[in-house]
Order: sequence, then C-alpha cells, then structure tokens
Amino acid sequence: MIISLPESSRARPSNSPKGEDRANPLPVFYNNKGETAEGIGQSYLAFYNNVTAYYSCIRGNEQRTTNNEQNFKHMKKRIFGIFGMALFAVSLMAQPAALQVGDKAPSFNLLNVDGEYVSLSDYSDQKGVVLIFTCNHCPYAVAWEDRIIALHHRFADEGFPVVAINPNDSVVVPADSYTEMQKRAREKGFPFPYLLDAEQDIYPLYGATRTPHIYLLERGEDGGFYVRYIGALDNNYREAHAVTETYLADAITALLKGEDPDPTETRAIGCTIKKQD
Amino acid sequence: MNITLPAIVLLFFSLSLSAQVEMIGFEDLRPELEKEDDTVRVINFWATWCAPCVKEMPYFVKAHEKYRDQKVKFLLVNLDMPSNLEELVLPFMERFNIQAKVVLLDDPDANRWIPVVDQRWTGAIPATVIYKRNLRTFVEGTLTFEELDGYISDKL
Repeated sequence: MIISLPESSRARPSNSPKGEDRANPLPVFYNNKGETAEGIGQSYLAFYNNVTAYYSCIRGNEQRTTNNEQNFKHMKKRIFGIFGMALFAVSLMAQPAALQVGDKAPSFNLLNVDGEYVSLSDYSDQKGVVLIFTCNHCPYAVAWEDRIIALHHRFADEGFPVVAINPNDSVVVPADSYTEMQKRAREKGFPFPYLLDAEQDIYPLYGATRTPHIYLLERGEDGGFYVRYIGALDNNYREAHAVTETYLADAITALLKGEDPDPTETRAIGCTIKKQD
Repeated sequence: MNITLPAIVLLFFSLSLSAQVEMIGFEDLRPELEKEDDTVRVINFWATWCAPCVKEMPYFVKAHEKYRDQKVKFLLVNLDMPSNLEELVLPFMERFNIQAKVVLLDDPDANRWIPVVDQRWTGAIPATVIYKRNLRTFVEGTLTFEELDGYISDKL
C-alpha cells in the first residue's frame, strides 16, 4: 500500500509556475471558502414534508464577502503580523487555499467502491488524471454522469483516466453513503475508481465547492501532478446534444498535443458539498 | 355545479401563479443586476432540489414582508429545469407562500453568466446578491434571517 500524505498540499510549491506571486500565505485568509450542509434534493417530496425537522439538524458555513468585510480583512492582515506563525498554522488547518491552475495537486489515499485504496501516486505511469469531485444525489452530477463515463472511455487509453471522489458527508446526505456509492458504481458500470473522501479532508485541499467540480491534472517532469484546468465538463449540463463547448475534452486534447488548455477555468452551477457542523 | 366553481377558482389560481413565473435567459436578468437607482435589490439563486436553498427560503419570504413598504426589491431566480415549473416550482411557491417575484432562468450555459453575477461565485447554490448601486454583498451559501436582514438594512 502506498502511503501518500500531503507532501505538497500544505505548502505552496516553489516550482509552480505561479509560485512567486502566490507564495504569500495571506490569501488563506481571503479564501473563505465555505461549505453548506445540504440535504438530499432527489427525495423532494419527502424533505418538503419535513422541512422543519429536516433543517433543525443542519447548519452551514458560508462564503461571504462585503465591502465592509474588505476592511475587516485588512485588519486580519495586521493581526497576522502580530500573532505570526501560530495563527498561520491554525488557519492553514482550518481553511486551506483553493488550488489554482499551475499548482501542484495534493496527494490522497482514499477507499474505492471495490474496497481497495487508491492513491494519486498509483497513476505515476499515466500522463495525467481527470479528478472529478462528484456524488450520487446531485441532479447536476447525475446529468453529467454518462458524459463522464464516455470521457473516460475516450481518454483513459491516451493517458488521462478519470478518478471520481465523493466529498459529501453521508450523515447529511444518506444517498451519498459508501454503500450507495457502490450501488451506483455497479448500476452505471463505472469504468473508473469512485472514491470516498471519508474524512472530508481532501476536497478542501483542492478547494472544491460543488459537485461536479473537475480538476484536470498533468504529471510534471518531477513526477508530481499539476493542475492544468479547473471547472466544468462542458457548457450544457442539461442536454448533451446542446453542448457547444467541450471544455474538459478540449483541455485534455491540448495537453496531449503539448499545448496549454484554453480556457483554464470555467464555472457551472452545482450542488454545494455537504458536511456536518 | 358544486365541483365546477372550485375547479374554476383553482384554474384561475394556477394560471395566475404560472403568470408570475417568467422563463428568461441571462440577458433578461442582467439589467436586474446593474440598476443604478436608490432601491436595494435582493437577488437569490435557488432550486427546489437544493436543500440549503429551501432552508433559507422562509427568511426571504419574511424579509420580503418586512420591507414591503420600503425601497427593497426581491427577485428569486429559480434554476430548476423548465419542464419542472408546473410540477415542482409552482407548488413550492404556494407552499412557502412566496409573494416575491420569481423567474426561471432557462440558460444552461452557466459558465458565461456565473462570473457576471459575481466574480466570486464558484457556481454552488444558494447564492445571493444584495446591492444598491456600488454597495454590494455576495453570499454563496445559506443565510440566516438576521444576516439577510442586516445586509438589506445596512444599504437602506
């Protein structure tokens, strides 16, 4: 078994293309990425009828920024200067900065639906990895599911296999439990690993906020994996035939040609990643 | 006769609800995000399948009621599938007694419009913009009533 703990995840790699200007750890404070505890959307009527009971047990953090808060953040900057490294260390543990394109990807070692552990370093013989934070319950994740499978079939042999990670807490969303993941993987015949971020400590390292949230990684000359594209699979979650921009496939194709992806970041509506308080 | 009257009333009621929810593209929504008048605008992105959106909806209903006589406008931008308007969205509005304006944003090319709504929005919902001219708050995640109330009142 390969033990791979975040050799890269806590510190900004100096060999990252954007290393210099992102070396200052202060953005950690700015990066107030929050996750909101969310329930299941699919059993709509069920939760509908139990709205009060349902919500009394969940509570979330939010990402919020206002004009006033900008001032507060400047204040935080000063506090940082005063309290120094101790505060920095605490903040790093609490809120890692979201990865940017060019950053080194944090490693992981997570349980797959087949009972085996899968690590990023298991893919050291590949050109890269298509890392997708996704889940069972989210209507957007479901809408893109078949296209994710097709993308794996198209690019796995060319060196860019898919690795899916479910980041959700199964107490908040029972439909995203390990057993349900196994069931879903079996029903759909997932040709790629479907891993559970059981401790919910991997998705914050990447800065994933929603499902699906895609990180295209390419193996660098040093053997590490680097983020080359972040975002959506394409520009129409609803209907595959109405897609006019195949962002992810284009990004992989560019990498296969030795070119840089363009765009390197896209956004899509998605379900908030769910965690307990 | 006994059945006809309630049926007609029901029909009119559902028609009036339908009329309340316009399906729009992002270009129709865009002006609502860029007003320069002295009204505070609260624009919330939500869907019926999104539990945290459902959780905070009563706070929007309450705030809408509270600020009814003041210069505050609410717009609830629904992101359900257009095909679910009748079956899910309208009953939801009835159930939560939503009087504020609701539109269904029928524009799946979200990468184009998410950053226009707010550069900080990663795409997770709920998301809320509260602004008056250049006073602007953006929240990705659920709000409490107190937070929502505060973000509105500090702009009045």
